Amino acid sequence: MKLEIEHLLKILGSHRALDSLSLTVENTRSFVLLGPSGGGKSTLLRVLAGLEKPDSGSVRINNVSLPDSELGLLLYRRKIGVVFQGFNLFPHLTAFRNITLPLEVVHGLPPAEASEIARQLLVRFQLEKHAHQKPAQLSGGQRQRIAIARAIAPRPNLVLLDEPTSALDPEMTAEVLQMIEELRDDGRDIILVTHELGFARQVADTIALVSQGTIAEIGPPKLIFDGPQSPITQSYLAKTLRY
Amino acid sequence: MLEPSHNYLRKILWAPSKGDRVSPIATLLNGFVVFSIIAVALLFLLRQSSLTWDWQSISKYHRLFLDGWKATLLISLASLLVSSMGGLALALAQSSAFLPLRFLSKTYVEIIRGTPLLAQIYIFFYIIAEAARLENRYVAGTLALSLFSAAYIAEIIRGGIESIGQSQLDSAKAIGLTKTQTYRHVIFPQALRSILPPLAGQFVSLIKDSSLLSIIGLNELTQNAKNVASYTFSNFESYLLLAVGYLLLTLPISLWTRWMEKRVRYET
Repeated sequence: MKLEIEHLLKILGSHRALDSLSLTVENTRSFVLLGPSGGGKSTLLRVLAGLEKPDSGSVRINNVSLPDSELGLLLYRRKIGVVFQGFNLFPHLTAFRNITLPLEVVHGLPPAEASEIARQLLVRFQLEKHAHQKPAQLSGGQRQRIAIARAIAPRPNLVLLDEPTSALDPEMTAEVLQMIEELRDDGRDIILVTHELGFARQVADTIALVSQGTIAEIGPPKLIFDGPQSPITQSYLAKTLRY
Repeated sequence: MLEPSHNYLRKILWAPSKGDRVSPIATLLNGFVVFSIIAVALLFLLRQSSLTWDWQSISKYHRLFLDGWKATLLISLASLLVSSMGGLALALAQSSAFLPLRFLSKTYVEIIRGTPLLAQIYIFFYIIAEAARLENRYVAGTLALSLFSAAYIAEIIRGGIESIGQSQLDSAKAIGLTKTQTYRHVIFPQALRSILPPLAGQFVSLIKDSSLLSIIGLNELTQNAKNVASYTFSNFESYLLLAVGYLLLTLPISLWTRWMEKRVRYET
């Protein structure tokens, strides 16, 4: 993946959530965004997901600009996969239907084909016995894994994950992280917002530290963890790694 | 079991812990108890009052009751359909990005909800239907009732739509659903859960409110019952029959929506 962002500005209310943010990332499979809460990571991810329009600036992914029009953004969203922190799934549908609905309605697959894709994904991630349960009957970890399965079912080249484990206990976190690692090994590009530093270090090709709506530091994990230059990175790591 | 009789009684009289079904035997027995209480109370009241029942004279007019009941049934069904569609349109208009449409819908709802149905029926019949050369008073009456009910249904649907959380809308957007698809597959199925109970109440009200159409001379159940009462001086008999006639229309609605509620139920 190649990602070029120039002077990205996003104002939420009176707050500059993204304040002339620029970055360039090349030859990166998994790109991880770290940083303090409220620093702009999630806003950046939402812009990259085509869910929010920036107020100004430009984003190019693999040399293609993010579209401006509503229709362009809709078509763009259909080509990528997005997973949020929680409450991703539709509570009125079973796990299985949550996966097949977008395949049939958005991507126009015949029901039999959609069902086959859903079945294969559920088997692969050992979720088949939960296929016909509704989200309320699943654990947080299972729900999040179903949500990831739904996001990758249409075979997107890029998957964006916004703090996918923040609402989970350590055991569930581990099962979700394992699934994300498999995605990366599948050869899919991922952009991940997380607070799991150990995981970030392990899977990331490039890490960016986002703070106050801009990039404090960007580089490979080794550089960020072992020799951070920016005082913001140093203080973030010191605070997060203390306990 | 140490106290079998005590246990049985408890199982019949008290609801099981949440989520478990009330047993058919308990339903039957409790239903019988309630029925008996009502029957005894009614018998007692009738004995105390000095009424003498005269079903003979009103039985001559049974056709009037039947015709009136049929008219009420048709008016209610038609209004139910028209007001549901109108309510849906008004609710969607209220969340429209086009401001004139939104304000128009809001104004309409406030005016209708803030004025008595009686006045609306008169105004609609003598001014609007007159101007539109709508001569059939049944059609005019049904429309007046539908326009009234639509405002309430709009508010019920709007409440249901607004109860859907932002995260669900984000999710729908992220998987690439269009606006229409989001309404069809995410918002409406979820909103139905909170919409159904108040909607059932509104449908029942609509059926009862149709009695007000007697003021423009529609020969529906209330009008006919009133007529029979004045021909035969059997007020109590006529109005009792009238009450039963409305109950026969409203009960199926209540039962149907309860059944629907069970079908769309899911935990969150």
